[in-house]
Amino acid sequence: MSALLALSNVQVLYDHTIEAVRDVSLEIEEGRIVALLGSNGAGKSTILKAISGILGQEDGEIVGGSIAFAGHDLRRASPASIVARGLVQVPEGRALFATLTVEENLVMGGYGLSRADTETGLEEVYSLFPRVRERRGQISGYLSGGEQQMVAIGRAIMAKPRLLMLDEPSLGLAPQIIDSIFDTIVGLNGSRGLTVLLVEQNAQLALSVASRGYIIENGRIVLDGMAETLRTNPDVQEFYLGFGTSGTRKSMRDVKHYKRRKRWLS
Amino acid sequence: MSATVPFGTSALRELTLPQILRHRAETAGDALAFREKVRGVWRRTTWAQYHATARRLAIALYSRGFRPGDRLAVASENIPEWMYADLAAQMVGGACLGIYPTNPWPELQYILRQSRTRFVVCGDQEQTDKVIDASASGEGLPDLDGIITVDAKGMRHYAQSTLMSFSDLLCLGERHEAEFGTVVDDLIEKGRPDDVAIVVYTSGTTGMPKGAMLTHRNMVHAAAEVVDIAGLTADTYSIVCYLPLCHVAERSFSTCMHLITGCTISFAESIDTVVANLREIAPRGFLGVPRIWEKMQQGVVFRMRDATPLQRRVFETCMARGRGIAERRLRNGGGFASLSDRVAYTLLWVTCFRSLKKHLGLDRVRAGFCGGATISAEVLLFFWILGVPVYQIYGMTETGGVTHMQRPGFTELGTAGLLVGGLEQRVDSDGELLVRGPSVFKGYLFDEEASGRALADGGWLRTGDIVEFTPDRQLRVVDRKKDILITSGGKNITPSLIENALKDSVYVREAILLGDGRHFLSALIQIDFDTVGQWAREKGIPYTTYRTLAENASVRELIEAEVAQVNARFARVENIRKFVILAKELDHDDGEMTATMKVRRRIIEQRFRSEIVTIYGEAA
Repeated sequence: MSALLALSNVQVLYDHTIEAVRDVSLEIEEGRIVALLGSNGAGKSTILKAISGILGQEDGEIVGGSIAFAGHDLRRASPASIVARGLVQVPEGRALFATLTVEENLVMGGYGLSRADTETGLEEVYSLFPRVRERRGQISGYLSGGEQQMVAIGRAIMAKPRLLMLDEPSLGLAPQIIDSIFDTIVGLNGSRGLTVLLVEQNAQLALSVASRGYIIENGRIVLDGMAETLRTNPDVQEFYLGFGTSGTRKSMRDVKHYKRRKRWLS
Repeated sequence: MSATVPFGTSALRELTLPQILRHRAETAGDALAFREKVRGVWRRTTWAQYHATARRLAIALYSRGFRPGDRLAVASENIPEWMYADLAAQMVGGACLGIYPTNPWPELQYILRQSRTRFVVCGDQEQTDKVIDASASGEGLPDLDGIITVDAKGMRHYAQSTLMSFSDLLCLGERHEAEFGTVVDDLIEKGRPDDVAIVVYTSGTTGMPKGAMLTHRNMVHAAAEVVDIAGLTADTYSIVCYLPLCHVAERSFSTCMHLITGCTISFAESIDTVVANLREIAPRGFLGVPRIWEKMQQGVVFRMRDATPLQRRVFETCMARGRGIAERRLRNGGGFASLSDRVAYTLLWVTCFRSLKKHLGLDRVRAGFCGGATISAEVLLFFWILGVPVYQIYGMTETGGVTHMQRPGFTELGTAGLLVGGLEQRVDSDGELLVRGPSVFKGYLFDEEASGRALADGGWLRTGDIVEFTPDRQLRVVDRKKDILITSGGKNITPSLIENALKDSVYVREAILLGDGRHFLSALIQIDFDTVGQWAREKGIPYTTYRTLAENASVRELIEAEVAQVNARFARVENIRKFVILAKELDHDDGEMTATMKVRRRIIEQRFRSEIVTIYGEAA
């Protein structure tokens, strides 16, 4: 089966000088959840922005490689046409229209839909997140972080995505809320066959729901494989899952001032 | 006595290294000895401070029970404390040995146990942890009395009673000045050139490492010969200390030549900043192993592909023009063959080479040295074209450094030059080189049997290298005696020659030739991740990790073409019929390479058994 989204050797420069990612290749098959893991500044968000076509705002540019979504080249496509094709991103930190109400936010997500489609879309989001229905008339900037994340995901759902890209959905949320949000994501994947690209720093969580994972460091993919394989890789365990070398949980007291060399053997 | 020693190496040759240090401190105490970059600022150390610190450390070690004949180990990156510890151990009459910071703990444990080391100086927490692991695991380290850590960051809660910080030890030395100061001074005075100064563990491409005992005379003689032949003085020599000091070459070119010439050493900030630091310091001397020179050359060639078409054109034209000049220059013994060559070179220098050399940090190098393994002639020629004279040297741990070196007048490509002064050489019936003289070592520490094997009757050292000589007595190393392959057809093959030809390709990082006792030759090849990665990007071949590249069919075709090119240069029996691209990069941590990045053939042949089976079949 060919991939729904395929990146091939993508290279991104910011401001013509700073190379943010280099030779990034990844493939996402339809109906899968794929995790992209990495620490701060590794290039995860840059990859998402490259896919969504919104690098221009930050003076970024794809200088090499190709991005194909369902067989269409996305490198020259406008952000709006990318969304229209069904590739929708939930940005990091939610980025709601803070002064609009919850429902207005959702309607914005379905911009261009007919009135009837908007109505069914809203109904779908409300049934996914009953909490959002309760808050529909409130100004979204006053919502809690967890509720805002739900609205952000709902807003993306309004655009009827084939592939949903989530940029750190767990950021700054309480564990319980994170669990419920991840349950929803897994549910969407299971019930509607929605394909998901999940960018996370919380590797434990991401690898527990994803079928496949990519690990990116310093703008390059250093390791990829099935989620179970990654979970048992000693480097992933030590650097991403917080286990000591013997497989026991590491104490902060034992954290070293040097780093064991990362090997990323596949 | 020491104050009256005149300059020049002849008077220094009967002294021990600590005596030379004392002489430097007394005659030129205010002169600059070290530069070390700390948090972005170069910190200076004078000869007087060097001597005072080493002496204080010696007093502290003595007060803790370190005695003549004992051994101290250093496990650290190159820092001034490395040299203080080295000289301090020698001041007391002990010997210092180095452990590669990249050595995993079992190897460190083996060396510390085998040498019965009493104190170990660790650079940081990482090295200290390895020593602690080694003392707690297996049979432990029964002879170890103290662990001294230079940078104790992150170790506040360590409870080991043997642990001490370097600065505490210096304070201890200051407190015991009255008690043991004169004792240490006497020990320095009583030191004899034939005392063991350092122990150097061989990298061990075969079997476990062995500790070669080198005396002050060994080290001073080998270094002083290079200094005399190359005409190095404090004004014409300066060096960036970056190769591991545990290795005899860096010890000779840094520690010893530093003492003998009174020049300045700059320490690179860290391994990662060597290139930048080199550019900043622009030293006058530079020692590199082939791998370093190769990397520099490939760096330039590779960067040129990203340059503008005009820049590329200029570079290519200059290199092509310079080639003839350099070749004539080498045949002429290093000097320009004619006035027109000199003028032409100057033009090329202005157009291109000046800035290129500056970029590499080699613009002031008067003498570059390359040793450690055979280097491809192509790489060496590259630097001669730029106008950086790189002299091939030959020597080994067991000779305290250099025994043969190229010099003005003797610069033929592919040779290692003439024997240095004071030594004798002869060639055994099977072509093996034997050397005798003041730089030949005393034997291996606690290993009579190995010493007996290395030292033949009459003090001749078996080098283990098969050699030839040019008509004017320049040494040409054919290969390691134990590496020569004999195919089942009875043909003797020199692997390094073919391997180096393969490694000339920018896409090939490492090549290991196989074929001993087999009916054809084959090779295990490790591709260069960066260059092949860039090639893949240009060709639009998606890849993620080293492994995906190594297993890619187009990459295989690329390497096939490279192998075919090499095959065309050799006779049919020397052709590589099959090859395998290794699916993982060779690594010191996995035991496949030594700390000095030499491949361990035996281990590789075991580790990659399944690959070898695919080449030769199950019967192999």
